[in-house]
Formats: sequence, C-alpha cells, structure tokens
Amino acid sequence: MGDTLQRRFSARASRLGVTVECVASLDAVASLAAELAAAVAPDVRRVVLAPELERAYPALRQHLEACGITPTPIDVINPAATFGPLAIGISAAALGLAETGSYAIADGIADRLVRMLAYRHIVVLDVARLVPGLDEAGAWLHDRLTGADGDPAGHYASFITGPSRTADIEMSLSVGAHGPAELRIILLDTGAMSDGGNGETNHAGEQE
Amino acid sequence: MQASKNEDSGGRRHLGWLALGAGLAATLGVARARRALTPPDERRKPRSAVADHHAPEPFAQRYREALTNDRMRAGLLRFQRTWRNGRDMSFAEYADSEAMGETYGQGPAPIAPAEGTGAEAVAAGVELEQSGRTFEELRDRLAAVKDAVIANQPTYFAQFKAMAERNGATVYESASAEDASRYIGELCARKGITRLTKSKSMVTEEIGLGPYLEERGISIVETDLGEWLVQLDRDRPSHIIAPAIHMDRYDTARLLSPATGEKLDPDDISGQVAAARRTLRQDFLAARLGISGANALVADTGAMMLVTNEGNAELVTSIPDVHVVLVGYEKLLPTMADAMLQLRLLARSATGQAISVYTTFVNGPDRPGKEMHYVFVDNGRSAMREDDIFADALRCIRCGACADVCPPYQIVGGHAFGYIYSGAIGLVNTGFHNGWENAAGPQSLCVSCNACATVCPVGIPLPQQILEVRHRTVEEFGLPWYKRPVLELWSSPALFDKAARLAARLGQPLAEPDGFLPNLPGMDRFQRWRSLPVPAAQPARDRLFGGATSGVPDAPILSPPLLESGATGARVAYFIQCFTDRLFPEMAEATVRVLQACGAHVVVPTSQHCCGLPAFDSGDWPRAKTMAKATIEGLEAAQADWIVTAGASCAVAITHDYHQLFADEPDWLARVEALAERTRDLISFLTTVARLPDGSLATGHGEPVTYHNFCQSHNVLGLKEEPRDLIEQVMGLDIVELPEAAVCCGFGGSVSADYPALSEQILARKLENVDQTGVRTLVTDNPGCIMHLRGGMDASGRAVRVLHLAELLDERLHARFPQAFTARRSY
Repeated sequence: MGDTLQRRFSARASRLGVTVECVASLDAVASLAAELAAAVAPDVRRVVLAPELERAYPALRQHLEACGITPTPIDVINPAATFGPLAIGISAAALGLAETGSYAIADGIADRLVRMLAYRHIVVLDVARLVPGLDEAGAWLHDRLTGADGDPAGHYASFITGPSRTADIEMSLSVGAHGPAELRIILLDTGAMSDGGNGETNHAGEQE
Repeated sequence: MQASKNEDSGGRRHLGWLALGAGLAATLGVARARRALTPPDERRKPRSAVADHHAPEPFAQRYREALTNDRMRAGLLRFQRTWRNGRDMSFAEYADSEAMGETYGQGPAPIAPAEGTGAEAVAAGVELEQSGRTFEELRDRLAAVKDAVIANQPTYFAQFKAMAERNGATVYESASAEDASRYIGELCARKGITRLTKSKSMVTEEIGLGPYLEERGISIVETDLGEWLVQLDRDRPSHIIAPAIHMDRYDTARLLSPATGEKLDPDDISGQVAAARRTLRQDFLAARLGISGANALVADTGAMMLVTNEGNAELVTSIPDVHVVLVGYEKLLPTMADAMLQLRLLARSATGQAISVYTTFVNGPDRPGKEMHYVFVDNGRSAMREDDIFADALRCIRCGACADVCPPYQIVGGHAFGYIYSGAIGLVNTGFHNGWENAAGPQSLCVSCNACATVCPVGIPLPQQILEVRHRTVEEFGLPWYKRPVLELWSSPALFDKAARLAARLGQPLAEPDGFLPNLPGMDRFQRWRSLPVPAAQPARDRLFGGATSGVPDAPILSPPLLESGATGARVAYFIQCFTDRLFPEMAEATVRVLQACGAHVVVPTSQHCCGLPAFDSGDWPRAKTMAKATIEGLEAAQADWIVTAGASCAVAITHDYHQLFADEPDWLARVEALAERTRDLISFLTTVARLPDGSLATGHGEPVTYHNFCQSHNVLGLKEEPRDLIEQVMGLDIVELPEAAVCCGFGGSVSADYPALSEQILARKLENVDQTGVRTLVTDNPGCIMHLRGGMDASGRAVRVLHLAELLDERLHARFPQAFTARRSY
C-alpha cells in the first residue's frame, strides 16, 4: 500500500515537472540541497529554511552546515532582503496526496514566504505522510483548521501541485509565474534502506 | 462558381426579384440584419441596480469589433480544441482510476452542524453515497450539494458567519454593489492605503470596484497575469478563468513592455512572464491590503478556499496586513468534504488539470495585527434564488467550461458573447447582476446547440435558461422589428402556404443549374458564403396528401415492407417539418419509404404545419404556444402508435421544448407528456422501435461517408453511437470520423439570419473539418443543418454531397432491393 502510494505520488508529481527523490536520511536531504546551491554563485546564494521545517527536523540545520551551507535568516518585515532572485527555500510538507501529486501544508507567514518567494523550492515529505487523495486531505484539513487534531487551530493551509505556472499568454505554459519555478520533493523514508533514490525527473510534464 | 453567379443575371430575372425577396424573407426567415435590438424601455426600472462605472460599449459595437479580429478567432479555436482534449482526458483518467486499483477514503465523517441552526437537518438531506468517479456522478453530487445550499442559504450563511467570526474575521453583508465598494473604500481610507494588490475575482468586475476605488485615489494592482494584462489594456476579462484569452503574444508584449520597463520580445513568452514576475513582486511585497475572491466558503469551519495556478492569491492573502474577501453567497458549501468534491470538478472543467497548482484555505487572520474582512455581495442573487427557473444558475463554480465548448464564443469571444461574465453563464446571469438591457444583445448570439449543458460541472440547465432570458427579453423589449412580420406569417398555416407557393413559383424559373438561387440584390451577406435553395415546385404535402384537405390519410405507398422490423404493423404518423416540406420534398419521400420498408403503416396528418420552434427559439412564446397547440391537436387526432419526424429539431421541440413552453399550463403539459412518449426522431425510431438487424441494408459495397452529429440530437437526445450503428452495422458502410462531429454547423435556427457573419465563420470550421475526412458524402439528421451545409458546400465550390440519414437509408434500400423499385408504384 505504502509503496503503491509512493509510486503513484511520484508519477503524478513528475508529470507536472516536479523532481521527486527518495532518501533515507536528513544527511541526504542536506546533500541534495547543497548540490542545488552549488549551482548558484556564493555571493548571491541564499538558502532559507521554513520554521515548520526546523520544528519537524531540528537536526537538518546541522547537516546543512556540515555541507558548507549557512541558512539565511528570514526577515519577515523586509522579505526582499532575504530572498534574492535565486533563493533556495526548504520547507516541510504535512501530507502528500497520491491522487494529485500535491503536498499539503498548514503554515505561518514565514513558512509561506519561504515556499512562495524562493525561485527554487525543496519540500521534505515523510513517506509516512502519504495519503491516497483529496478525501483524506479534506479530513486532515478540517481537523487542522478546527483544532480537532489536538493542536491549536490553523489559519492558513495549502495544497500545492507542481511549480507555480501560468498559461495566460496564448495558452503557452510558463513556470515560475510568481512562486517557485522549480519544485523538488524529497521523500524521506527513514524506515527503509536507501536505494539511491526513486527519483524520476520530468520537466516536460504539462497538465494532467 | 460563386463569381459566375454574380455575373450571370439575365434581364428576365429582374422582374421577379422584389416579390421573390419578400416571399423568401417570409419562407426562409431571412431578412435584413438588424442594426440593434429594440432600445430598452426607459420607463421600466432595471431589476438590478448596479452603478455602472465603466460600462462596456454597446453590444452591436462589441459584436462588430469582435468579428474583425481574425487573430483572436484563430486563438480561441486553438484554445477550445486544446481545452476539449485536456478536459476529456482528465475526467476519463479519474473515472478509470478506481478500476486501476486506486482507492480513496470516504472523506471525513460528517460533522454535526451547530445545533438549532437547522443546518443539521439539511446536512442529513444532502448526504449522498460517496462513490462514483465519472463526470456525471461527480456533477450530480455537487449539484445536489449546491442545491441544498441554495435552498437553505440563510442557515449556511449564519453557520459560516459564526465560524468565521470565531476565527477572528469580520463579516459584512453589503446592502448593494455600491455599498460593497464603499465598505472597501472606507477601509482603505481608514488605513491610509492608496495602493493594493488583488487576485482574480469576478465579483469585483461585476460591481465595478476598480473604477470606484480609482475615482477615490486608490489604485489596484491586478496580480493574476491575465487580469493584469486586461487592466493594462483598460479592458475587461473576456473569459471567466482566462481573462486575456482574446490577446496574442504581440498584444501582451506591447502592454507589458511599458509596464515592466523592459523591452520584451513578443516571441519570448517565458521572458514576458519573467518580467511580469519581477515587476509584480515589488507590488506584492509593498501591499498593505489584498483583495481576493473565493472559490468556496466552507460553512462548518468558516474557511475560504481559493485556487490559482500562479500562486498570486497566496501572496495577496499573506503579505498585507489586511485581507478583504469579496464574495457572493452562492459560494457557500456545507463541509470540507464538499469542497474536495468541488476541487475534483473545478480544475478538470477549467483547464483539464486534476487540481490547480495552488489550493489555498484561509481560516481567519493568521497573525496578530492581521485583519480579514468578508464582504458579501447580493447584487441580484436573491432575485435569482427566488426565481424557479434561474435558481440553478447559482450552482455555478466559475470554471468557464460553458464558453470553452461554445461555437459562437469561439467566433466573437467573451466581450460580445457576454457582458461582465462571459460564456453561457454570462448570458444567464447578466440580467440579474447587471441589468436585463445588457443581457439582450449577448443572449441573441446563442445557437441553442446545448453543448454547454453537456460539460457544466454542476448541471445548470443553461440552454433552457438562455431561452428563458430570450423570452423575457422579448417580453420586455419586444421582438427585433424584422422578426415580427416573419413570425406573424409563419404562425399562420394558410398565409405561410401561400407565401411558400409564391416563393416557389417565382424562384423556380430563376434556379441555377445546381438548384440554388442566384445572388439577389442586397442579399450578399446571406448568400455569398451559403447558397440558398429554391423552394420546390411541389412541396412534400402535395406529394403525400395532395388530394386530401382534412383528416389523416394514409401516405401513398412508396415502398413495400422489405425489412425485418419491430415496427411491422405499427401505425406511424409522419410529421414532415417545414424545410423538408417546402425545400426538400424528396427527403420526405425517402423517409416515408424507409418507414414503409420497416413495415409501418404511415399516415400523414393534413393539419400539420410548423411545430412552433422558430417562434419558441425567437422568444415569442405566445405565437409558439399557438403553433404548438395546433401541432399537438393534429398529432393527437392521428391516433397513431408513434409520431415520427426526420426533422430532429422538431422532435426535440415536441419531446423537450414543449415542456418548458407549457410549464405554466398543466392541462396542456399533460397532453405534451403523453404525446412526447410516442414521438420519435427517425434515428431513435429505427434504433429503438424498428431495431433493424445488422446487415439488413448492406450490399457489400458503397463509398465511405462521414457523419455530422446535429448538435441537439447529440446533446439533447443523446444520439451518439446510434446513427453510426445504422450506417456501419445496418448499412455496412464505412465511416470516416469527422473531427468535432458534434459541434454546431452554425445554422442555429434564426441566428444564421440574425448574424450571418457569425454563422459563416462557424460553418467554415465545420467545412474545414469535413475536408479533413476526404470523403464525398456527409450525412446528418436535421434539415436545418442540411440546408446550411449544402449551401455552404455549393458556395465554397466543394464537391461534397450532404444527405439526410433517411436519404442514405433510402439509397441503400434501392441498392439492396432494386427489384422492388423497378416500376414506379407497381406494388
């Protein structure tokens, strides 16, 4: 079941141009981020971590520093200073929807800035958080927004499915309309042996 | 071919032209195009009261300008075709997903609504089986949910308001469109805000918020790329979800270059998008107030849902300290599970995506110092909700599918085919939101093909509602001047008969060798692209009951019973149809032969005239009723087992339109229902009653044909495979599939006379599709289409013959049983 969900999720997300990789440790997450960051010149390089991510994976910062990356702190009052034109944002997802290849998150303003203002975006999703589809996501959302899950009620949540895009000019698809142009989802499967990645890359995917 | 007609006009022909023109106008419903609708009656108060700050140009001007825009038309054709593929594939994939072993949960357990609000009873009522993934099943479920909300709107609103306020939002019910704008203007003034960001919202367009704020020194930055383009062009959206679909990359580069301060290459669309991103990013970050619409308001959590692909709504609703949601009451949904259902339909219907890129839920202010204001707008929605015929239109989820399948929309775009809202829904809701005088023009472009009804994800009966809008328009503003005499004549059997015979007598001597009329003075815009037929010297009525003046005589025996058929011995009353009668009597004879070959005892009611469809379709319901009643009485008197017509549109009129026409006359409605039970179009009769065995008209040879699905047969009667089965299985002929086979040919009842240039363009799309098949025979089942298609083939010099399916059957009958037809009437 879990494996089927993962296969389905990866296939759907890949079709939308999302790079999906599966890793077994936070160390590997950091390595992937470092790889991506290496392509950006050091003077404009910014790697920004979402607060929710740090809450979920407190050890990630250390791993990143071990890879030579010093995360840029978020200035919520003046976000333009935080995010240059080529920032890499890393955030955590609460759910993955196999039905649509979406990830879901209920988050705060700082997290949202990370996932919206960075040109490249890495999402860390625990494979245990994969669900079949919208029905489960709707149930989760209801509980999250009402606080029925025991945590304080959330005020803002999103399902995000592929990179930001527009087809408003002659139906021609362009990515990176306002949000990230590049979306990578890293499935974190700490319970399994890493097989070196179940990643499928497909930037050509158009619509479903 | 056409040039020769212009040159060749002998002197003798001049004599008859004037009289012939008059006769034709009467017979064919062709008259000079009107310049504008009868002006609205100023004494009547409009039923919606919107202060129109930036009223669009008059309809006639919008229509004229649209017709000159060839690039837009080509772009919209590409758009419609791409949309159709994507939409169909995405629904098919979801429908198949269960068979592929994908199981989803049953959604969250139903949550008991707050006690004492009444919503708990409602919730119980809308609980439906959560299964079925076909488009139709999803659609029916969401329609039921929306209906429950429409019926119990105050309850759901109260529940939403209580939850939203508990979440920290402010809920304001505006008293009018102007009041909604005022609320937002005062909010800006209080906060000292002079520049704000906005994500896409049709309601802001509807109430004219932009101009209102601008007059008060507050500028709005549209952040959806399409909306921004339209704003930069000082224009309006031409499509509900693709606002700038009428533009091409040259237009957009011209607008974006000055706005971004960059010199943009029209051919680099991604470059244009990137420049827009850079410019708008500054606005997102600077904005202190953001305005959005909402795709849904979830009553049991107090959350709003918003979908975009660009992500602009996330930024508009997140960064500023004030978020204003401008929304209509119809966006309420009971639960989050209902919102998920809507999501499954919305993006697939809108763009063919399984889900939009960003689906955002906002549940009150998310941080200290943040404000969230809901401004509810009625603006005619209450009147709609209280109107039995139009309440269903409040189900609309604003996907735009009704425009994406609409043939006239493809030709003129949303500025002419709509007002603020475009597409079929725009023809329906404009009267309520923006005044009936503004609905009058756009509604007259509808060809009644019913395509919109087949893709609407909430099952709104758009075609019926548009006809009702037309009916109310005619009641309020009157018929276009030229239609009055035509319908007056058409509604009188005796006068019509005289006029038709006069037209035949005058027309016959003028007929070209190909059987069409020569070009007539002043008729160029009707004839240049579609030759008009000459009325037959001997109408079908003379051939079928020439001697009889009353009663229901037997049809002359034209064929012996030749086929094994479930119709053997059945008494069949044959309804001829006007065009068939006067223009194509050979089609009537072919139909009778086919029915008799099936063993039917064919009788022909002599009182038959027109079913009333032209009057009904024109919005002239009193005349339509008179004609319908005469038709009903005549057909009842035939005491037949079945009433059969080869005029598919008449069959649709009798079996469907009459129900709408007589909705307020229960006695007649009962008679209509009884009659409709026994009434069949020819194809349905052959496939459900006669049930001809496979191969019974096969001869082992015969040229391949292509098939045009008459839009109403396809979309209303649901005849999709049936005609193909008759051709392939019964007649053994090959079919080369016609691309877009069920898209209207452009005849559209009187629309082709009202808007010949529109009709010409829709026909061109059809003829180009026929060219692709490479076959020489085009078959269909409606005489109106046949007149139109034959005329188009002739005028464009195409050597494709256009046959009624009855004629093709008759041909095969003669080929299969040559001995039965060797001597004329020898049996």
